[in-house]
Amino acid sequence: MSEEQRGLEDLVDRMLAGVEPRPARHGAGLDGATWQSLQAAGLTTLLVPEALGGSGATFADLAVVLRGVGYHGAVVPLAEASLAGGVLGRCDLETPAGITTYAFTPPARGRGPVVYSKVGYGRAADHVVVLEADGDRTLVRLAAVSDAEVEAGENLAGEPVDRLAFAAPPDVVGALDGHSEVWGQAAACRALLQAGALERIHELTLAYANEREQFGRPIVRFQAVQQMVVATYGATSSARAVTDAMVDALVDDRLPAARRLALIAAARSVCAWSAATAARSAHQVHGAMGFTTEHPLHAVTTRVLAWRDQDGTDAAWSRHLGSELRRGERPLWELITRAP
Amino acid sequence: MNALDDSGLRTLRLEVRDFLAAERAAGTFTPICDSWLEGHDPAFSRRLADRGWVGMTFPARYGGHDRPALERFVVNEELLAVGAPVAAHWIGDRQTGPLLLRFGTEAQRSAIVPGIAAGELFVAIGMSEPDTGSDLASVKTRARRVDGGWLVNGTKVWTSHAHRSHLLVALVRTADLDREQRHAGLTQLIVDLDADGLTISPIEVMTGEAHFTEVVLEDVFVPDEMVIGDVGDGWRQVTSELANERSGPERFLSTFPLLDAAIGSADAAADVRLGSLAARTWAMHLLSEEVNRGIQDGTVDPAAPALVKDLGTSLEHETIETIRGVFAEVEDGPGRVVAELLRQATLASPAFTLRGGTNEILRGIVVKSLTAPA
Repeated sequence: MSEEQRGLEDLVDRMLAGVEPRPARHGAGLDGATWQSLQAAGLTTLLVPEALGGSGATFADLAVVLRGVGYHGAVVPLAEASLAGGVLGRCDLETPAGITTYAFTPPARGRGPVVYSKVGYGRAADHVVVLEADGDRTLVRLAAVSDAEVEAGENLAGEPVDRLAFAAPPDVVGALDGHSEVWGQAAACRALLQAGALERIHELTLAYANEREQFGRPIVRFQAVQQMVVATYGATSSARAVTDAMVDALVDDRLPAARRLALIAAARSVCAWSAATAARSAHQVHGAMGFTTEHPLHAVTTRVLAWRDQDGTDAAWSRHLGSELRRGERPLWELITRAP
Repeated sequence: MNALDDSGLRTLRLEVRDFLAAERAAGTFTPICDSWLEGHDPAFSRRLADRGWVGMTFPARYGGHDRPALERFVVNEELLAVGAPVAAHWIGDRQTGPLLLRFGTEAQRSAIVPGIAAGELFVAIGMSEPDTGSDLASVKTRARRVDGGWLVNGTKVWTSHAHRSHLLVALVRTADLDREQRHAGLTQLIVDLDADGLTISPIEVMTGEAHFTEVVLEDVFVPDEMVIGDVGDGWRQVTSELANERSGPERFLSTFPLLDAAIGSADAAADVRLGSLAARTWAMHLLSEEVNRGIQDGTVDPAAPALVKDLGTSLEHETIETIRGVFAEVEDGPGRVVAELLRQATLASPAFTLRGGTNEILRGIVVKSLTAPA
């Protein structure tokens, strides 16, 4: 991490320090106050070029903020807005005021009604950037959410993931080459949120095991509990290592796109394994307390599990990597060792 | 010591790969799982040493090459990824050389380290005993003071390749056990495996291999010059050695030849499962590389080698079961190569999570480090 990124990490930690992970269910939804402070600090337009009013920052900078949001359990559309803003920036467009989210969709059939599903924070957004596969490119459409009929939905953690129905496909405002780059970027953001959440799960677990006493001593003294604590730590460390490598690859223009995508796929696959392992072990250590809604643990564990299914499921990403290896030019060892 | 940059490391890595490709083409070895333990081949070790790939981190004046830890890591992971037969020199290179360089006398360093680096002098570890596994401080092998040295009595077990090695590094008691200070009174001795009083018997394990041995010592004389460092310093030495033992790529690459072969011969139905194993193996490589970078920079988190060993060996178990499952669904089952690697790996697998510190014990070490006062 660079000095600036360390500073950014500290800034995010200070800004989100007051956020207590809470269940986002039953329409509790967006944490408006936290979102506004992130906006005021310029942290919601990191990928927007400076000429268009953003920070012109790198994906590595965004990664720092995403990890922080995942760690603190803030219910904010940071991944959504960052990706949407970056895409509009590449089309030479300013991001509209308010919240902009995104939706991925297959090619539109004609000019009839369209439904976009799995739209993060759809109901809270003012605009949606639609990324539509079109041959060897991606069409970029932009719509006001007020033009849509919104069907509210939730992920496993109760975060808003909605369906937006429009009477006709929104206007095309630009196009990007290929599909996989922007799809991969969305998936990468999701992995970084997970990696941050995993750090929080590990810290909560370690702290709890040291504080909770039974049979006259902190439960961390029991070997059976130690096994669980380390299972969580191992899962967290694995996610951190692979997402670090993923971010390094994403900011390295010398690398072929296929390699960047392979590392995104690996990160999504590992983060899912880590999520399941850490969630199970952390809840086991926390006992009944951690199972209640009073305790913050479930808010973090349900999120890290929910995010396995967004921006491509982990199985789809594992399949991507497995298929590339089976069919591709590069054996696994060459991919892992970056050689030749 | 000038460390290679990333491009230098890549060049080194590709050199090792070229060497291994030539060796395979010449038929000098077949990839096997667990090759760092099962593949004992003195001629291969010498050929590696001739290229400067044994004793890499040892100082040049002791026959080494003054290379940093990460370069050794790169060479070794290339060797293990193809299951090359490195067992003969492995112990000496991995821990005995570093042990003597750190704690040995000048005479010991000059006499022994060059031979290790030349791929000619092979060493076995004498730590475990029939009644001593995880609780290493409970060793009973006793060295009693005599004129000019020590007389050693006891039994060491799980001593890999003692029947094919020249020296045994034995952890012994030089003072009776003091319950208040269990780690005191322990000393490491260099025992010549040709000495009188030694009986070496092979122990056959469920893989059919007998690289493990039992070494019985009856009044074996060890001269004073063969005490490593100071009498009574054994525990500190062993703790340092164990970090070396745990930090290497063997902790997640024992089953890599199997994974590689499986990917090469599976069909699309296996993509999700093999992709997921590949992803986790990738994460293990990154964590292992991080440990070795830390060793090189002197910043290694003390719990990291233990954590990596725990994670890596657990993944090895899952790798075997998942691959078995993939091919169990296929009409004709696995091809010959995968079938053989699966057989080797399955039979070897109980040992993955036992050797180098049983995983359950290692997890205690990790937690201790995590809860240590800052």
